[in-house]
Amino acid sequence: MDRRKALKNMGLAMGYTVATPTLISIMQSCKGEPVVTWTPEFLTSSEGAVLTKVVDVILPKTDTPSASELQVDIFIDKFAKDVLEKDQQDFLRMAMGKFTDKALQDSENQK
Amino acid sequence: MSKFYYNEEQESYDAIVVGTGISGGWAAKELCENGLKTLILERGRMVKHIEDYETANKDPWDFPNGGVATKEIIEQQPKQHRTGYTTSQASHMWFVNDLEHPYNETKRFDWMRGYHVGGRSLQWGRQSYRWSDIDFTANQRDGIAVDWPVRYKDIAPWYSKVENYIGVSGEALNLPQLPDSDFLPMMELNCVEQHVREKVAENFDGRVITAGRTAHITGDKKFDGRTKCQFRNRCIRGCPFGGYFSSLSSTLPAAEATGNMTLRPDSIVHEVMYDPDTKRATGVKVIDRVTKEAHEFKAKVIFLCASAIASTSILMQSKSDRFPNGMGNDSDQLGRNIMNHHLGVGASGKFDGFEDKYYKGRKPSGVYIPRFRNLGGDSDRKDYKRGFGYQGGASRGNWEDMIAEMSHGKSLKEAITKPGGWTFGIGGFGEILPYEENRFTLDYDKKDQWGLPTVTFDAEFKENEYNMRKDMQDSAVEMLEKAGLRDVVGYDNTASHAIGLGIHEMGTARMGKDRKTSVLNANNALHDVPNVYVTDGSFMTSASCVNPSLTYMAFTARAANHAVEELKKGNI
Ligand SMILES: Cc1cc2nc3c(=O)[nH]c(=O)nc-3n(C[C@H](O)[C@H](O)[C@H](O)COP(=O)(O)OP(=O)(O)OC[C@H]3O[C@@H](n4cnc5c(N)ncnc54)[C@H](O)[C@@H]3O)c2cc1C
Ligand code: SF4
Repeated sequence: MDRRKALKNMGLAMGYTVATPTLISIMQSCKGEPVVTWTPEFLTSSEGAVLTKVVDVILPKTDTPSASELQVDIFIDKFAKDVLEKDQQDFLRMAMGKFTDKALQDSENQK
Repeated sequence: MSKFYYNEEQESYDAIVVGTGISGGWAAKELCENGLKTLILERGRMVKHIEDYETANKDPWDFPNGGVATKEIIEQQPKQHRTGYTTSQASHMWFVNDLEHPYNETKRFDWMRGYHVGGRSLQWGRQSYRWSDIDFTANQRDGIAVDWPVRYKDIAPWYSKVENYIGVSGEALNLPQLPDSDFLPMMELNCVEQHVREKVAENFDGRVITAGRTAHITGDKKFDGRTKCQFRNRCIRGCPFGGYFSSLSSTLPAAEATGNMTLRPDSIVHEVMYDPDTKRATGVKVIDRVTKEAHEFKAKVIFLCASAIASTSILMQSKSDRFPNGMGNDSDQLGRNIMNHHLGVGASGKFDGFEDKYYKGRKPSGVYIPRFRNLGGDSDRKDYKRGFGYQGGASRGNWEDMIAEMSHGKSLKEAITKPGGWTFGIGGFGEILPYEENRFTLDYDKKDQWGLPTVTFDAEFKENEYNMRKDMQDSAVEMLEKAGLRDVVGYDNTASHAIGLGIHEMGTARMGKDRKTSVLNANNALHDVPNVYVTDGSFMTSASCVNPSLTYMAFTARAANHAVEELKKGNI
């Protein structure tokens, strides 16, 4: 994302309402500064940490930013909370739990 | 009480128009331009053109959660959400809150509404097609329902008048079943659409693929206060350019410019008042949406343009000694013969080739395939009456089809920055027949927050519609396969087996020659109360298979000019 364009869009949006969190996050990611903390609203904080890693495995940093730099992890967590139906939420939680457990187990085994 | 008048309120007017949607806007324009002091009553909130299109300039990333309908939205708009596309964060504000505006379903009925100044002209799909005499004579030929009291030659000049004012882009084809409009330049087909058009023409006698005929400004003709369509395909949010026709961009400003219009939003009309001595309507009763205060407004002529179900409900509630079952309802046809178009059936397929081609901008319309069934000769079908058209188009997909091969890492990133392959799809719009038993009634036990009865729908498809749907799917598959597409899949969504998602409700106060079997006469006035006109979808005696709004506009303009003449002659 071109930072100038982000600024311009933000200006447009400001005319209507206050800047949305999404815009702010685009700004931050365009600055390339890592967002230090985010507290998941749907997942547990350890699941959130795993999610951050996973999205970067899928979309790593190359000459363009990585998924977590664009806050894809935060997006997914919020989407799960605001949009997913209960059964989808349960499935995501279950899958995330299993995935985290397996990852922990594997790293234990490697020691 | 609302403060958004264009003019000060007065007690009595020449004319009252109920509703500001596609038909109300035209009634307002024509009546005001003819010098009538006109009060426009609209149940919804005020909307100012451009200023109030709050999402029009937002980009996908401006919306939380990618802009999809959140659980919170769906809780408020569970029925509006049935379309699957209108309740996104970009457009859900133009559809009613179902909790505030409840209705009942003996059989499922998808009633999609927008209560605000501009009505559904703000969010409509802009597809605009003329009717032909094949449509106007259909009931007569089939011996179904009653005959239309109008023929193509009566309405053709009004189509022209409307088209020249709103702007309709399209391609002239000289087809008997789909007369040409007075067109602005057509929207170009993209390369795959063009390719399929040629293949279908080669393989099927007389079948045509053309550009969707849409109420958008293309070409160089100038329109007051409106500019050319910019191809951004965000029309459903309101267009800051006035690129497409809406009441807000086009007819209401024209009415306002005359100085004869008074617009009163937040005004729920629930009854037309009747004077048994003069045998004329005298005005309407209103409840203020916000304060819930009751008001009465008087006028010499009343235009009901609140959309089919709403206008018919107002007539049903207008009871008097003369009309115990609702105004103009001696025939008992009010609320019956609900029609719409049935859709959610068609086919799509993938196209190999043209990988080096793309398209510029976001064309706000695709292709149209005019009706080709039951037009005589080989086209006639034994298993159903009438016909259908298809709308559709070709586009390049995104990266989704690559996921399997490149599931993560650098290669996935590369893949997702490139456009995917081409797909081409079409979906049918089929005619629904008028059945007396397909109806709605009012439930006085279940009232809304304004103390008004709620609507109960009891309507369904029958054999003709189901048989037609089979052909709609089979013919779509056959055409796409012959056009050289691969992986062609047909579909017939069972979720579309209820009436409503065509969003073209009509027929509940039909026109006819005989007052015993119809509600309105050939000029859209009640047979028995000549100063009440109904010009929204209520008047439709049959449905055709083409999108109806252009026809509502033409009949509204014709009726308004008729009313002006009748007033001049002192007949009403
Ligand atoms: C997503 C979508 C896509 C569509 N696509 C197409 C298309 O491509 N082509 C096409 O031809 N049609 C299309 N339509 C249908 C089209 O919008 C309608 O046919 C058209 O708007 C009907 O015009 P109308 O004036 O009868 O009603 P509306 O435009 O619905 O206007 C009715 C107005 O009356 C007001 N009202 C209702 N009740 C009362 C009352 N009691 N008192 C006062 N005011 C009242 C409403 O608030 C509203 O403003 C589409 C509709 C939708 C929603
Ligand atoms: S596609 Fe045209 S009409 Fe639609 S929003 Fe864009 S400019 Fe307006």
